[in-house]
Amino acid sequence: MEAEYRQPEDIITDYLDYLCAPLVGVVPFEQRTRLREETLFHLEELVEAYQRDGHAPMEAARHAVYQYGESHEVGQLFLETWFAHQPQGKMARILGLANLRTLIPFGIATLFATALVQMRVFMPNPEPMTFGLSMAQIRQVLPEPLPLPDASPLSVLLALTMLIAPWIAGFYTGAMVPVRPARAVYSIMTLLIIYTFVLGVLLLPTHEGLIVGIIQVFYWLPIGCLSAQTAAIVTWRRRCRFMLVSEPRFRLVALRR
Amino acid sequence: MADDKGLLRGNATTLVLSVLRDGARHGYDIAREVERRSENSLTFKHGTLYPVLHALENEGLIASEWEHPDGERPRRVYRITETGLAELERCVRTWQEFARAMERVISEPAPAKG
Repeated sequence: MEAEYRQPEDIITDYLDYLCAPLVGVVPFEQRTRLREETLFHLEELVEAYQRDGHAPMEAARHAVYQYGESHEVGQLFLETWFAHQPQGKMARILGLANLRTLIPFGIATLFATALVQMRVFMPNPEPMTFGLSMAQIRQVLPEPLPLPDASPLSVLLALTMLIAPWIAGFYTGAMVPVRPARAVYSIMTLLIIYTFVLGVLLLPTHEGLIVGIIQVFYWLPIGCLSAQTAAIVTWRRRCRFMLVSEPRFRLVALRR
Repeated sequence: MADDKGLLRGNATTLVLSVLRDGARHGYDIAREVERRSENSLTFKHGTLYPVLHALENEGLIASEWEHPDGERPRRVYRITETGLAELERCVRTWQEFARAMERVISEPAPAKG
């Protein structure tokens, strides 16, 4: 690591690149530039102070960067502060911007799934899908007393929605909420699960609403959190690659010798 | 004390506003002044100061502008606003009440048993 840096300015410039790279595409250019310029001034002052204390220039630069803090921690803190102070609408002020952005995809998915359940309950006996086979042919594959598969268009659509929705909603959330997206998914999904269970109780004696609620607890919630967190990390790394830094954090430990 | 990050973070607003009450300063100066006044009991990673400064500026408690002194590097200088002074007064009052209450609890002798 040491060999990569020939002069103190190299360490400072590299550190600034690592600090600002994850902010690209999230924090406006003007504010990123301001942070970079303020950090540059601060680091140069620190380097001078360490040099006055008798350190060699390279050593002073290493100490300055260490004193300033891990680039990803400072960057993340800046991102969190910036995100918390975004201009917000009335709904965002009530819910929080991260929760509002999470509610949109997960709320739409939940409303769609529960609408399909209600259609199945209140519009019974929809035409089943036969996949081009006659009933006799299906019965050859699934003889009595095996039940016929419930393969109506509504059922297929509901099954696909239940399967795919948490992945898509989670990835959307992770891309849109740069700060602790999994926590936002957890908060919003808790409310949506309560809604689904209330609806499920109202739909009794059919159990479909309650089954959807159970699937949300054991499948949507963990998968939603996981995919949101993954998407946030992927987005973070993509921003870093865009800024030509190889990894999201400046290797401070390697400098501290 | 220096290791208690939560305590430091929770009182960052009070610390910054207190330092700025005595005049406009740039970020490096603020960090050094906090360390000096606390006799190096309050040490922190300096990078964590800027998110706090930007947040306080967003809240209107401080204002900032670039300064270009002759022959020196340009620096962004922060100064406290009227709202900031009022907020500082509130923060100091809250802290003093809390510290007094803590002191009373800590120094109160345990009642004699029996």
